[in-house]
Amino acid sequence: MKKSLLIKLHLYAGLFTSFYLLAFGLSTLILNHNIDPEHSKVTHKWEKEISIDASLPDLELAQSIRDQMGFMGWVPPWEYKRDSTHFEFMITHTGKKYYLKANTSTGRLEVSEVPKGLLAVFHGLHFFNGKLPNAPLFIKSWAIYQWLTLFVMFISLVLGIWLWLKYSYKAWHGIVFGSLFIGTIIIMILI
Amino acid sequence: MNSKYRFHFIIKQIHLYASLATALLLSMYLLTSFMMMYHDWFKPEQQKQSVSIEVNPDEISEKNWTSFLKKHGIKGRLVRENFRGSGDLFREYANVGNNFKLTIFKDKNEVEIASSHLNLAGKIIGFHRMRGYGGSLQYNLYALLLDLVGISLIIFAITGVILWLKLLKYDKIAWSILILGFVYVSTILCYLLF
Repeated sequence: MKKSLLIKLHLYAGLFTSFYLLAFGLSTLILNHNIDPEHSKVTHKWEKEISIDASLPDLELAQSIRDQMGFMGWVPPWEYKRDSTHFEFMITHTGKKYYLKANTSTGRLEVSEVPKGLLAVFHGLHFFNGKLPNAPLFIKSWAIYQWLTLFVMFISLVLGIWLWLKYSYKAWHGIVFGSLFIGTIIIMILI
Repeated sequence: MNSKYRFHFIIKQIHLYASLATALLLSMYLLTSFMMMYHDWFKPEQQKQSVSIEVNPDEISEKNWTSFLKKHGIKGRLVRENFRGSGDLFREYANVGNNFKLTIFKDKNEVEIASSHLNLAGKIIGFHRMRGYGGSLQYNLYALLLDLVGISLIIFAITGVILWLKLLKYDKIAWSILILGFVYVSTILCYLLF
């Protein structure tokens, strides 16, 4: 295969993955330094009347309220609080959290919205697999993009190494990066 | 070498060296990402066990703590330490494949050791999850390598786009890929954000 074609393929693959690489790079630094990028400030509060079937178990009740409100997200069971008149829970996804307090006798629902912020969303893409309850189809398509990105990144890496070995290799590269390669393996064995 | 060519040459070298320095870890991340996405195929599993051992107070004093860990085969670095409501001291040690939770009871001469050990697939995925500074030298060196990977990924993306602009500025396929990628990722970001 011609060098120019290999370079083209390497560049196309790289361009396809460039935004994901940025998200991964940033996210790696955030994780490695144990930074919490999520905002915790409630920015919006409102109330609404909804239909509540208090006989439902906690999970089903939380899901029923979420679906009636048209929210997307998970309803983590460890956030449930229930007494004779109120049911409190949280809906969360990569970009937002909602704290909800439902009056199970009147059907009055209080919602507090907490946007997590741009950095948190960018970071969250590291873990996001598109499987989000109530999410539209294009959000679910992230799973395909993620898979393709990893595959294309692999191709880009192999092509890049091939181009280096074939056209740019110098003896000192082998010594320096070969040592780093072996050093990395030793560190991985030791941890 | 004129300044325009020199700039291109430097950017190309940065792109190359950033990739070579992190190629092994990046390959590991790609492999383990697939393993995590298809965990049903690879079946990362852990074996759990719990034992309570009688100790004398001197054996678990700070002075002899390292010997105690060695004697009972506790590996890894200290990842968590706190006092429980009852006053019992809790310490957790972990490495790529093993996790040890130790409860040192306040009112008894007893230590409970709850351990879990990952199988091979779990250990490989463990490299993906291992992060952060702290512990002995090897853990700090690994964390340093992770910082290098993070910075390199950002550098790849930026230098890669600069190199593309130089080499394939008028290539319609390249522009389409870049614009589509940008629009798609931005739309996802905005939808999740707002």
